[in-house]
Amino acid sequence: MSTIENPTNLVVGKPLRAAFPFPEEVGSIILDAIQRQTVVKLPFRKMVGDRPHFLEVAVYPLSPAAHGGAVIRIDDVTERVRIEEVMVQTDKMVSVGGLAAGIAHEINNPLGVMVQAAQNIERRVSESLEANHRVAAECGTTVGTIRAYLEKRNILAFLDDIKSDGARAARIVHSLLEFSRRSESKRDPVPMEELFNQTVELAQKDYDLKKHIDFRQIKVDIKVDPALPPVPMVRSQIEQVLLNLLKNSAQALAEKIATAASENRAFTPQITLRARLNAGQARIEVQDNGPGFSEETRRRAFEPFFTTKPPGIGTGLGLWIAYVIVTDKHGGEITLDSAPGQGCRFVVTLPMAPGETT
Amino acid sequence: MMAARVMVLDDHASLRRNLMALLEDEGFRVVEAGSGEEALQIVRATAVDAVIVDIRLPGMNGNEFIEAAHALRPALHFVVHTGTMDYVLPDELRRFGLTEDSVFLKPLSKPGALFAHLRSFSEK
Repeated sequence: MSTIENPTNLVVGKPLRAAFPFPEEVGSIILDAIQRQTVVKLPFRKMVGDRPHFLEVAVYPLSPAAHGGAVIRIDDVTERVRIEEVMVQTDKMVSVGGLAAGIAHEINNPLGVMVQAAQNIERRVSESLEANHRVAAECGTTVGTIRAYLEKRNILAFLDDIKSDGARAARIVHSLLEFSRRSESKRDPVPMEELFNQTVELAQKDYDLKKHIDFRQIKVDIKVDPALPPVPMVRSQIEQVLLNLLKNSAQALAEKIATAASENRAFTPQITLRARLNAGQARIEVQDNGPGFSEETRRRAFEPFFTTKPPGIGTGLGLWIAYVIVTDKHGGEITLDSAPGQGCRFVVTLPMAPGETT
Repeated sequence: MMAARVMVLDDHASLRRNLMALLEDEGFRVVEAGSGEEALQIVRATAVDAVIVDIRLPGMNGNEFIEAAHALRPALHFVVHTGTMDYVLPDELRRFGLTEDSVFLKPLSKPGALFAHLRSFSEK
């Protein structure tokens, strides 16, 4: 077993701690169990190489009348814990999403009115509307005087704030609503090469993205294994997943381009899209050579509203939407490998069996 | 030509007020109603050219209002203004001349399209 680095012949006759390096607190609980002659079962976490493993240790003390000591069993339950975590996580993310969409629905109208009201105020203090001049005169003043006051007191800037922050909130609300709306559920086989090309084109035209990076300066490689048949999917949904992953990569690359430029280093931003058949499933990869994610970010990346970007860039929903589409709507899996400085790679696995989405 | 008279039917008072201000500044004459029942009374009593209809309303809903108002005044025009992204135009209403172009989602992102749509009624 990979968890225990030492083969049996190296551990026989060794002190327990040398044979299996338990964490300090686990070691003392084992000794305590032996002294008190009680059975103890204990889960703990141990790094094996750079990966955390979940272990379960069971201590069965032997009678001191015989030789004393204890039987200690160690199970590696990492896989079980991982599956449980994924299930809980999927459940949590899907239900949080439902809740958020419900709130979005209620916020949509009041938010719309607020933005509309700000626009109304702006228009009714502007020089361009004839009625404004007439009513100002009735009140013994001019639109010019009113505007001069509003400008001196910064009121027009406050109005702008309502409009621009309102628009930002509206974008978030809109993506939640757009996502929760009833959608097409029939899966059709789609050739991956075609879908990759089309999504890259979409990314090049994406308005929000254009403000931060020119997508065309990124070198995009598409590698589709010819042995991969067309993949059954709800096309519009998987296109959305790929677009969100591309946007995520592009924004990460924009950061690295800026850093490289400020340090006068050469840097070629690159995204690689791959697809192939793997164990009877379609394996789709989106990889970039951007700055990569820290462990903390990697763990939380798919949570709704989790973002590392400054306010105003992105909604914190893109990767979550990708997650829900892949896991909940397609019965697939999406994972993320990354380390700081190493870029990042998303792996989407889709079942090849045709079926209905849930 | 007289400016078109447009009724805003919505139970959300602040939405009504702000939409009316927008329409007024565009030169439309406006009236308002907070329920389908109230709107029907106005349709009976005054000349209205078009109604901007919210769908989710207390009492009769927007679809029911359009049917009833159409029965009263077949020449009346309607625009649907709804926050429900899944709204599907019922076949009944299509028969009164409503199309996908008559449906505007809240919040109104392109008021220009609404104005143009309302003006197209008076040209007909």
